[in-house]
Amino acid sequence: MEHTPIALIKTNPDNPRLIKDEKFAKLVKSIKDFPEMLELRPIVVNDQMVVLGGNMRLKACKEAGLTEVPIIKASSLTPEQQKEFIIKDNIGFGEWDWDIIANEWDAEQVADWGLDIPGFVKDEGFGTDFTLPDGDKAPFQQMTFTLADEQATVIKNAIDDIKGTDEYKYAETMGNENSNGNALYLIVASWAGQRK
Amino acid sequence: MGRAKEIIVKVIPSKIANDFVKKHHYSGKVVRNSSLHFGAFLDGKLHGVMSYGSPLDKRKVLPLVQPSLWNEMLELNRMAFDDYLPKYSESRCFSISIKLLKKNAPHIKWILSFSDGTQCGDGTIYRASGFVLTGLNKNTQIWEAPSGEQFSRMSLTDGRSKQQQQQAKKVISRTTTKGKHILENGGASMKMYINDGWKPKQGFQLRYIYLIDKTCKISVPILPFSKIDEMGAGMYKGKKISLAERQTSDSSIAANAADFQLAEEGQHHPIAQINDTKTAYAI
Repeated sequence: MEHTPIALIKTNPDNPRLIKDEKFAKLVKSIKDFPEMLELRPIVVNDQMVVLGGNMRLKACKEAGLTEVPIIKASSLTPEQQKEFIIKDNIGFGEWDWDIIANEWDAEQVADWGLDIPGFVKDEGFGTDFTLPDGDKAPFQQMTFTLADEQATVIKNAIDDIKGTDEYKYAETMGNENSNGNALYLIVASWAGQRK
Repeated sequence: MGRAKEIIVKVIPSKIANDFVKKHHYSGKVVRNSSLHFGAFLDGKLHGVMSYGSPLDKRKVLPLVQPSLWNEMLELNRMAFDDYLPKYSESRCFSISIKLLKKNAPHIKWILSFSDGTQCGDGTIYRASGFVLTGLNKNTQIWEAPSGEQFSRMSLTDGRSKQQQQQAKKVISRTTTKGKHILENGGASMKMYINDGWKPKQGFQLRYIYLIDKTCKISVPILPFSKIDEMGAGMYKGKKISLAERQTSDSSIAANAADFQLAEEGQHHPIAQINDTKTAYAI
């Protein structure tokens, strides 16, 4: 392990890992709160000083204001092995035993360290404001039908046809702004009129 | 009331609410119509959820209170609290949720809720929170498959709940060889399910109403709470037990609950006893 100026280390553009803002903030906080961990778990780079393991930590170290970080050079790895390392370094093979976390650990502290605990929701980021629709039911409704492809084609064509007519252009829409609904109504009303 | 006073109620996203309800509600199920979720936080963590939304059959229930327009009522369709919360938390949280409704949605005039007296309770918390009892009927809505799994009647016969129908079909596939017609066509009535061994859960469904706007009128008879014992509908934490039996066993707690309710609401409501608050209510 050696210590290197942080400016000399390059982040890996092919690293497939992402980190969300909230998680990144926790990582930065973790590095500030517990710098010894970085000494025990250095950033892994290749001979070109490109990060193989610790891309997120490197970004967090920069954010935390560190000018120098501990690294380990993986000089013995072939390019293929370097790719393998990037993936394998990030795979979590184990499972968390949430009962042990809940009973033997301080769940709040563990969450603060960055572990997403299922069902553990903190009183943060929530408010008391909301809106609900008021008044009476809107005088519109949606209807759903199942159609064979051939039936659907016939109906679509009929809707397209009637939309090109003056009858459609000057029709009473009863406040409905859905053009397909208005067109379909005209077609059906016309059919019903002929039946009388 | 103790630490219940320290509970903070906030609006939470449905994802968080639903995860909590699935874990803590006795049914293990969420209501798809829930649209407004309140979280009950104590010591900075989520320990309870109240989910409000539109009733599944709104046209049917809207005339229960008049005058009332389409968007002027909500159903409290899930209430789930974990064991961490102290006594009286449910009443306290409901009271806060009403205050938040008055502030953010002052057009909401009344709240509807149902208590599942087949497997949960007869509505202790509702009575303690100022609801009135307006319906007490033998259950015909919750049905049990031969495997023991339960489904609402509406989800089995109404085409709107595709997800539950799919689940029901899986149950039919597992538990019977006679249900081909249901698997193919769905069930338009319960007859086909009955033929395949399904039964309604024994017990009662209780309908409660809470008027936020006290000028509104409930258009159906308000039933005295004593009717629960008369009908043999008493249930508490899934066990059949009358109100009278509970009252004699813990009258001091009943008095405390009454004091708390009066303080919270600033008015008198018919008060039922609260023995314990660690059970989820509503269906």
